[in-house]
Amino acid sequence: MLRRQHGFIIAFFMSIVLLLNACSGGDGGQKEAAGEKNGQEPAKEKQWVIKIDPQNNLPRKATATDPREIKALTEIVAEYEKLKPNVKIEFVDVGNQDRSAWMQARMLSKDAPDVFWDNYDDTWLHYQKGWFLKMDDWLQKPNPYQDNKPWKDMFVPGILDSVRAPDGALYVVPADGVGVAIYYNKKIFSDLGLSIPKTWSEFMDAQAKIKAAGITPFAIEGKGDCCHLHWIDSLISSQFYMGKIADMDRNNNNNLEVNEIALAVQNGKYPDQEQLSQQWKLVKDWSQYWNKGFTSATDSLQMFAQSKVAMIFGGSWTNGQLKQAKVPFEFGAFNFPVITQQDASLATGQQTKIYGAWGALQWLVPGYLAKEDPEKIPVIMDFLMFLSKPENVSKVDLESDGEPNIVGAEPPPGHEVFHEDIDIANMQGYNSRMDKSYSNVFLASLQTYLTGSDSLEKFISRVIEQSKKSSENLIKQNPDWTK
Amino acid sequence: MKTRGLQGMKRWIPYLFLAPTLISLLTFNYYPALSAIYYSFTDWNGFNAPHFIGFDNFVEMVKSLDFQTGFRNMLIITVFSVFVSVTIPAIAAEFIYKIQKPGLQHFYRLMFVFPLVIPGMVILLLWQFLLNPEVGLINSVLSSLGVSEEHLPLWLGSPDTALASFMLIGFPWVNGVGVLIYLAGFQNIPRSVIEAAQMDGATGWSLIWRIEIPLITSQIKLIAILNIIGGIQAFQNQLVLTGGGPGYSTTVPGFIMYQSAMSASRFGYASAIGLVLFVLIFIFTLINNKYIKSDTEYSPD
Amino acid sequence: MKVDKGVWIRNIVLIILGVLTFIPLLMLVNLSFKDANQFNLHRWTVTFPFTLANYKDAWAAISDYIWNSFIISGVTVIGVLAFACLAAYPLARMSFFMKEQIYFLIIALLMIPSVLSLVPLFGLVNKFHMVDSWLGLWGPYIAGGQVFCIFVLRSFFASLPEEMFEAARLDGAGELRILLMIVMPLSKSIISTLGVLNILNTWNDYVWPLMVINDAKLKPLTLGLVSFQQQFVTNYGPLFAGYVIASIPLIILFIFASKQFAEGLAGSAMKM
Repeated sequence: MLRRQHGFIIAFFMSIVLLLNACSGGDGGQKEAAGEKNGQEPAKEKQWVIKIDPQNNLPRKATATDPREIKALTEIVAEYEKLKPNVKIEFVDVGNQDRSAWMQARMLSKDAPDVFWDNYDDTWLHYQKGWFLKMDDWLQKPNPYQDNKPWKDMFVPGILDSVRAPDGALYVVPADGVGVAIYYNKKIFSDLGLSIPKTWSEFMDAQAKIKAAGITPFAIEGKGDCCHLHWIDSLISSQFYMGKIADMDRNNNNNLEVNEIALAVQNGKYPDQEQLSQQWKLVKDWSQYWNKGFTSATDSLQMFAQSKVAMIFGGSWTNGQLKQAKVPFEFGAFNFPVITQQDASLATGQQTKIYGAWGALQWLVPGYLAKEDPEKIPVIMDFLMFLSKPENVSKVDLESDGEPNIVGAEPPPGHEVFHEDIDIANMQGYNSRMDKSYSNVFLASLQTYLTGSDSLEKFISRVIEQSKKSSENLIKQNPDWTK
Repeated sequence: MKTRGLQGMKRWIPYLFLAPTLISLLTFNYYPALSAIYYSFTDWNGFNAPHFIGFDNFVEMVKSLDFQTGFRNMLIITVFSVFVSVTIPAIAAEFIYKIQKPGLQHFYRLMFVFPLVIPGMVILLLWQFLLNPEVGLINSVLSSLGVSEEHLPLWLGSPDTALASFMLIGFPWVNGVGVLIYLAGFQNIPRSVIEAAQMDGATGWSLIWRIEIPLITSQIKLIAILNIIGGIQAFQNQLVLTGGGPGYSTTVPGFIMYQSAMSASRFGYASAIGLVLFVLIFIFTLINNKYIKSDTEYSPD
Repeated sequence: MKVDKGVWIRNIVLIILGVLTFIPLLMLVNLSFKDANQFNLHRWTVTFPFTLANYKDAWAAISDYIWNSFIISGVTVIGVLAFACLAAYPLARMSFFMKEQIYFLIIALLMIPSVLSLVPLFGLVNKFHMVDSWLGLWGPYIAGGQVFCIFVLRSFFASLPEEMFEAARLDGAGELRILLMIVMPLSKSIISTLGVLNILNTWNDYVWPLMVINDAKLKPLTLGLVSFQQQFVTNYGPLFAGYVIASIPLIILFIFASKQFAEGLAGSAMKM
């Protein structure tokens, strides 16, 4: 009796184990099979499978709900595979939610796609862990698909420097980027007889008129670190600092990175209390025209599509989204207005725009490959060099509304606003100015100030205090920065 | 000889039965949890080797303004959620229990249980649409009722109302599982007890207060504990709706923990917060079991 | 007359509470039939024509993954219930050394915040080579899911009359046989209720499969739904259609289990 019982228990667990084994994936087996095949036929060229996470360029068919077909990469890959019959390219679908958890997992289990996506300034949080391969040497190499000129020479001047991590290395190859502008509802503007505001005061006047007409002038998504408040910070502080950062900009790339800011704080060159105070007074004044409750989850694009709001922040990608939403009115876009010295005495009067390498074509290669499979790296790089050809990048960006960072590639039509001859912001917004503690404290204090429970003085003093703390922490963690 | 062997084997039966559970729990639950306790004393970033830093994480935690505010918010939210989830499903269950028609009972039960299939994300999106101060349904209704523009609440968008709006989410707070647990409690009350009380002249409210509620104390305790555990750990609303803002007005330690781990890669610090939350839950559970007496409960064994 | 009034009040209160609880489900269905303009301009009312294209596209995006979700949730629930019954039985009906301590060790797990163990757990699953396989989901799901079930089943098993067990033991039945032949049939409805609740949790989980499953062929439906969702920025119709499709198996399950749900957790005087 008892023996039978134990037999039963054992059988029960055995069957569960068997069931588990039977149902789990067969991927490992396939990989091994491929490896064996390579071993058996040494005469033939080695077969490679390169997996790529194309972010928003993942191919898909047009459907009734979303008429935008994405097929550029499929075509480019087909062309490449014909050229290199021993290489097969596979696309991997990675959702954009919880990417940090995904990346953490892939780096631990060493099964990331061979080319994957992350925003370059996010990689600055992780490069210290060895997650990403250094691209510097590869970018020096000749690109066989572009007359054997060095790969780096294909990129528009300055863009590679703008994505350098604080340790000076390049971990991201930014083949395209995005711009940010203000989108406006042409119908509301023409009904009220408004024209595109060029200066801050024109901008504020226009919003006063819109508000008087009973329409919310501007929708801001002020929840979390990204993106609108962050952009406002970047755009406006850059207008204050244009041409004034020479003594802080240690690598002379005309942009202040985390390490430069941290050192500037240590040397007492940043932040400037009066500058902060002038900047945020402007924003506070502006916030009377924002949607109510802007600190909670808001869908500004949706409010815009509903004609409930006259203006929103948008980027290169917004064009396509508005087309997909089939908005029943005409819309346009203009660059953030210039803050004159009448508006704020410390302002430089120079307009700035946000334009940077945050596109879908930011290529990262897992750092562990250098040890695990060094032979694969040249194969990956060859494919990326092929992808970087101007006509390929133009083709991809035409579909996904990106701005090519490759010389000779064409931005999609309708994107002129992002290419206006305006200086690019030289200060990053609070979210990538220093560390996460800074960005958390900054955002919370800013929200408290803008929603009226804290004074400007208190807000500024908390920002300055946190700047000092964060810069100390950063320099302690990165002793090489002081060199 | 044979019997002794049999008895010897018998002694091992409970452990054999418990083996799969214990092995799986030790591997998949205790090992990660215990390593998190270790990490709470380190500067672990989730990848590289951790360095031991003593109590630094805990010191930083109690000193930081967001944790202090968040801790207070968490207590308020938890007290509220325990209160509504103990009372309202109890009322629903009591009413269902009192309805004598089995068909109708069945119908109501399903009505409360069915909405459990809606993913939490959908509920939060719907509340986002409802509470939006400009285009949300609630303010549209209020303004059509004649509430003037400047008196319309900003709901989640104002530091004064954000926390209160959080509590509104999930209205009318009838949790299907809670209803089922309470119903089980009511149905377990032996008919004889009720009949005896009725013979003593207890009716209506006095029957509920004197007989029924004391007899469902163990269910009340259970639901209270489950909601204390849930309330202290929860951060989904913050993640989707407010990001803890405006300022720190809706943040909670669980959300700070999530952000520290997932967006700042500060797993050491996150683990320290997690450890504090665990200890807190543990203390509440002990208090709940020690000081809320349920000695009047009907015990079947 | 007085009794009648009470019945009326009860019914009215229950109807109001029930309708309010039910409304989100109706809203979900209503929104799933809207195109972008209907959604933006007439969000809270029923609009015609119904945008069936939402369903067509959502189905195309997630249908490949539904079967995976079935197997993932199915094996999980079987494992959870098997482990939980086996563990709850001795905890309820036998006395043995360290019984209370073992029970406490199990129950204490309800109190550990899950975010905390996410990365250490992943490290472990990776060490076991369970990444990119359903084993990496089943292991932690079964381990975590059984705790609540053990807790409920223990009190239910404890409430069964002792005479039944004595009679069975006199007949020479072993403990496993008693569990399988006597205890489990008597606990059918409570076990099904726990099973349904467990499936609900597994079915909707997102972050853990995102970390564990890399191969598109093995992904559960939540991952497919999120990839589908990011196409639509202002247009929630297709996304909500996806949610409805994802809920249909659960709704069918609820209908089948409704008899069990009607008995619900009855008989279990649960206590900590």
